[in-house]
Amino acid sequence: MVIMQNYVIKKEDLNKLVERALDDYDVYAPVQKKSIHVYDQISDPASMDLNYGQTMTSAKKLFNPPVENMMTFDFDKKEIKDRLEDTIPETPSLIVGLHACDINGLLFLDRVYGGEYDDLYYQKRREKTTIIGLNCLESCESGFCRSVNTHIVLEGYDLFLTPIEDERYYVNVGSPKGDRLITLAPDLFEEATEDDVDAFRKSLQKKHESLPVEFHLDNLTETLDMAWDDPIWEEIGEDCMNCGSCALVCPTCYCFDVVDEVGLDLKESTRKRKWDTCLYYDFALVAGNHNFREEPEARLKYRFYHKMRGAVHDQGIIACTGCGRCIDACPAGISFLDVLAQLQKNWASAPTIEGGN
Amino acid sequence: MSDNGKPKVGIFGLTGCAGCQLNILNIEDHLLDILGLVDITTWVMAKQENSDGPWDIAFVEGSVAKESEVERVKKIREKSDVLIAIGACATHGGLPAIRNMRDIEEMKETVYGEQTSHLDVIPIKPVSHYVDVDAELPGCPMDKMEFVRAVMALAMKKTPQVPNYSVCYECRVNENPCLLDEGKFCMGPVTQAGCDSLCPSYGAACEGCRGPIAQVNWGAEVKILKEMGATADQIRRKFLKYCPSTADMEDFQELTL
Repeated sequence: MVIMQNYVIKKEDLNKLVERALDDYDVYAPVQKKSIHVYDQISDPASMDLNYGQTMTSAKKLFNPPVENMMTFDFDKKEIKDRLEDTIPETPSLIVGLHACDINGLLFLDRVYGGEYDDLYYQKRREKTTIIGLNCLESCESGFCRSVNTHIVLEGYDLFLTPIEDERYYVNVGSPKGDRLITLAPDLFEEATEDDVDAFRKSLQKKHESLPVEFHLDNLTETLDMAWDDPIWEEIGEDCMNCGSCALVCPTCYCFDVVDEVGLDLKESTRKRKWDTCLYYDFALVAGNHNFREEPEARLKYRFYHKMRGAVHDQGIIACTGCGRCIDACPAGISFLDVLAQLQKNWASAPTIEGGN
Repeated sequence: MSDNGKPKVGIFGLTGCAGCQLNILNIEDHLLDILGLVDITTWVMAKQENSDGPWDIAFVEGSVAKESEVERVKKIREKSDVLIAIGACATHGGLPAIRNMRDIEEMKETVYGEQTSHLDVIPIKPVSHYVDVDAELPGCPMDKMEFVRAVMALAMKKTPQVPNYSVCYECRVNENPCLLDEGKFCMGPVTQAGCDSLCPSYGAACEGCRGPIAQVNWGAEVKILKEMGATADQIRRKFLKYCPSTADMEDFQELTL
C-alpha cells in the first residue's frame, strides 16, 4: 500500500481549484434549488453551496440517471446498436462535496452493478468520475449515518476534505485521481504540519461527539427475522401511499425498468431503462396478472426487508447509508429510523443502546 | 381499415371545453407522422368532410351531460372497434361535473332563466359509465405526447399504457421540493403520473386532474391534508374538482372527511 501525503487547503482556495478543474472536467456540486439542495452541473464555483445538510436525491443520479438509452433498433436494416458510448460523456466528471453517506452509497452500488454482472453504463461513468468528499462534523436534520456506520469512509473518494480551524480543509488523498487534482493546482495545497494533524484530530473528535447513535446495527438482522408479523407493518401501511419517493431519493436503491419506445415512423425503436421501485404495483406484476406483492403494505414491508435484511444476504451489508433522505422525502412522515428503532424495541435480543436485555 | 391499409380514426367531442381536441391540433411536430400512421376520417373540429363511420379507433373527448349525448356515445361505440376516452371530462367527469354537486333545476334557471324546457341535461358521467372503454388518457387537458404514444400503440395493435404510479415519481426525478412540506394541499401522492409533474414543477400544487392511481390510499392523503389544516370541504373539493366520478367509488365514500 502506498502511503499518501496529506495536505491542507484554504476554504477559499477550493473555489480556485474548482475553477481550474472546469477546463478538464464537467463539474457537479450541491447547489440550492428553491428550498432544497440538489447535485447539479456548475460552470461557476460560486454557485456551489457546500454548507448543505442533504441533497434531495443522491449522487446516484450522476451514475445511473433516471432515464437512460441502452440500445436502438433499426427495423428496416435489422440493426441493433449499443448506445453505451453515446450515453457516457466524453469529458471526465468531478463531483465536489460528497458526504460520507453518499460515498458509501456509491460503494454499495459498485457491488450491485459490478460483481456477478457488470453494468457498463454505471461503471464507465464511475471510472470517469473524480470525487472530492466532504466530512460532516455535525449531524444533518434526518440523517442517522453513525447508527449504520456510514459516517466514515475508508475508500471511494479521490480527495476527502475535513473542515479544520482557520477556515481550512484537511485533505486526505485517496487515489491517483486525487493526486492529479493536486498537481492541477499545487500552489493551493500545503503539506499538513503536525499542528494541522492535531486540528484534524480535533475535528474528528467534534464529529464523534456530535453525531448520535440512534439505534443498534448489531441485532438488526435478528430483529427483522422475528418482526415479519409485527403489527407495525399494517400501521405504517395505513399511512404509506406507495408513492415511491423514499426509494427514488435513496442512494442505494438500484432497481430499474426496461422499456422499448418505438419511433413514430415505426421504423426504429429505443430501449431505455428508467428508475423503478418495489413500492409500485406493476413492479412485482408478472404474466397471468399475478402479483407477488398485491397489497400496498406488502410492498412497503418488502422495501424495508430488502434493504435491511435481503441486502445483508446478497452483499454482506445493509443497503442503507443513514442519509435520511427517505425520511425527508416521505409525504406521510414515515421515518425509516423510527420504524427500525421501534422494531428493535419490540424484538431486541442483543445489546441495545440502553444496554439492556 | 382504409383502402391504404391504415386504421380509420374518428375524433369526437361531448361536453367539455374542447381543449383536448385542440391539444391534438397542437401536436404540430408530430401531426404529419400521425397522419402517416392513421386516416382521420372524422374530426369535425379540423375537417370539412366527415365520414359517418365505421371507425377502427374512436377518441372521445368530453363528459356525457345530456340525454342526446348518451345516444351519441352509444352510436360511436357501436361503430368503433376500439374506443379511447381522452381528457378528464371523458375519463372522470371533469370540471363540468361540478354541476352534479348543485341543484340542477336551480342551475338551469340561473343560466337560462325560465326558458329551460329545451334542455335535456342529466347528471354528468364519464364515458365509461355508458359504454365500454378500451383505454383512458386522463388529464386536463390530456397530455399530447401521451396521445401520440397511444396512437402508436394502437397502430401496433397494443393497448396504450399510462403510468401506474403517482406524480411523486416525476417530482422526485425532477427534483422538486415537496409542496406538502410547503403547506400546499398537493394531490401528487395519490394522482396518476404522466404529466411530468407539470404543476408542481412550477410550484403549483397538483390538482389531481389525472385521477387516482390504482390501489390508491386515499385515507393517508386525507390524513396528511387534515394535519395540514384543510377543512373537510377543502379536501372534498381537492378530490372531486377534476374527477367527480371519484365520489361514486366505494373506497371514497367510506372516507371520513
